[in-house]
Amino acid sequence: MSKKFDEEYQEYIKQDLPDLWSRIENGISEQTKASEKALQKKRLAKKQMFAFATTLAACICLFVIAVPIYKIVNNSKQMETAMSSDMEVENVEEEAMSEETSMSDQAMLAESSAEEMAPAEDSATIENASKEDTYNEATSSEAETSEATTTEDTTNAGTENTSSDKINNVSETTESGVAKTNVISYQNVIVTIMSVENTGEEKIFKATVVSDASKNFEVGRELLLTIDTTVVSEFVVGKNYQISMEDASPELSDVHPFLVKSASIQTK
Amino acid sequence: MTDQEFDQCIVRMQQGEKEALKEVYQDYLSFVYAIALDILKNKENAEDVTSDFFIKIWNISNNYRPGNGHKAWMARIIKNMTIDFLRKHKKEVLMDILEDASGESETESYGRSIYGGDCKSVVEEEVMVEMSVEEALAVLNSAEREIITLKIMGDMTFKEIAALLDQPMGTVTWKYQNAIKKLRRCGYE
Repeated sequence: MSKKFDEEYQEYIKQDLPDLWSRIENGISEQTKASEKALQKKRLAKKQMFAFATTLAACICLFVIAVPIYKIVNNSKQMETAMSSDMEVENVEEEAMSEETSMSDQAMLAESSAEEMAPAEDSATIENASKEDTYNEATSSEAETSEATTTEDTTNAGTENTSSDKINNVSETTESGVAKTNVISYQNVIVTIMSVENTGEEKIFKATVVSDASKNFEVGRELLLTIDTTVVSEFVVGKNYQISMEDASPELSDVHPFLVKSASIQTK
Repeated sequence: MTDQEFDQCIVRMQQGEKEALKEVYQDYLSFVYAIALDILKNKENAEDVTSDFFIKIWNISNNYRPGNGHKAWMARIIKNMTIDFLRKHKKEVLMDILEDASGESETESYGRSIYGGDCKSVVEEEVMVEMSVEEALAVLNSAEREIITLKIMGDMTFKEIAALLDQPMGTVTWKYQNAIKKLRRCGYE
């Protein structure tokens, strides 16, 4: 009754052994299709990824390029605005400087005129004294009285000259000795503006002297005036003005205009 | 099929030649199916797993490393696939199988129920009962059945079986001898 288990077991398995090859083949073909689809999907995904990466890289490159350019443009704009503001500030400063210089010039002129008052007074005193001396010598025969009058007149002249507004500005001679100009300043002269002549470059006013405390000018004398436009704006014809003026060329004998340095209108 | 022939088939499969897979299929269908049927105890499920096995072989042919024994490689794959199948479809059956593997199996109790008591008493009484192969296999426990299947259907050596089951070769041979004794008691040589 003994049987061989090996043979029977193999027969038992082989009896029920199914034919699975068709299933396997179908499965393989389906899998190949699926794998092809997966491959296509992968390729598509790769393409999409490549496109996305390319776009991203392009964006990054654009950003990398655009940001410095934007910064440069922005900086240039800021520089321009800063330059314009600096220019404006410089213009304002220049204007202020010019105003200051004009003011300082005026102040300097006033100071210099004030400083020169003393020597001018001294010279005037001397001149007056010499004139008075000669006059006294001519009119008076007595030597004693002449000395006394000389001293008195000198003192009087000194007091008069101190009150006088006539100032001589003497410029120093240069080493070459070419230029030697005298500038005579007159102050507190009240004039009436009679007419205006416009020569093109400047306006020349005709004025008549109403009064002069220093008595340098006779009442009713006609004067020609030009104005320093930085100081005096305009004269109105028919109005009275108290002016300070300069004679830049007193050596000239003919009529020439005086430069008005300051003026104030006289209401009365 | 020798290892060299199998390696050549694998190379051909890697090149997309279906005939190579068919050769492997023809030589090892019974071996693979026997392992699946032994674990699953269901012909339809065993067929499904077996067909999936050959498709998998086709797909993973690139991962095959020659020189480690192709039968053990295939047996490991089909065993893992069968266990995965059980996990997916029959968790309760898997639990039973694990219990069988750890200790006394249901088949032993089934054998006892057949003989109406202990097998020893049956042998001692020398009651020769004509049993089918299926009934004789039911007398064996799962470990013994597995070793018998690998030995007979796969024509594997004890060394290969021991390496596959990760057990000492002495344990494998001892279990094999026990299985033979039980089969002899059932009327088989």
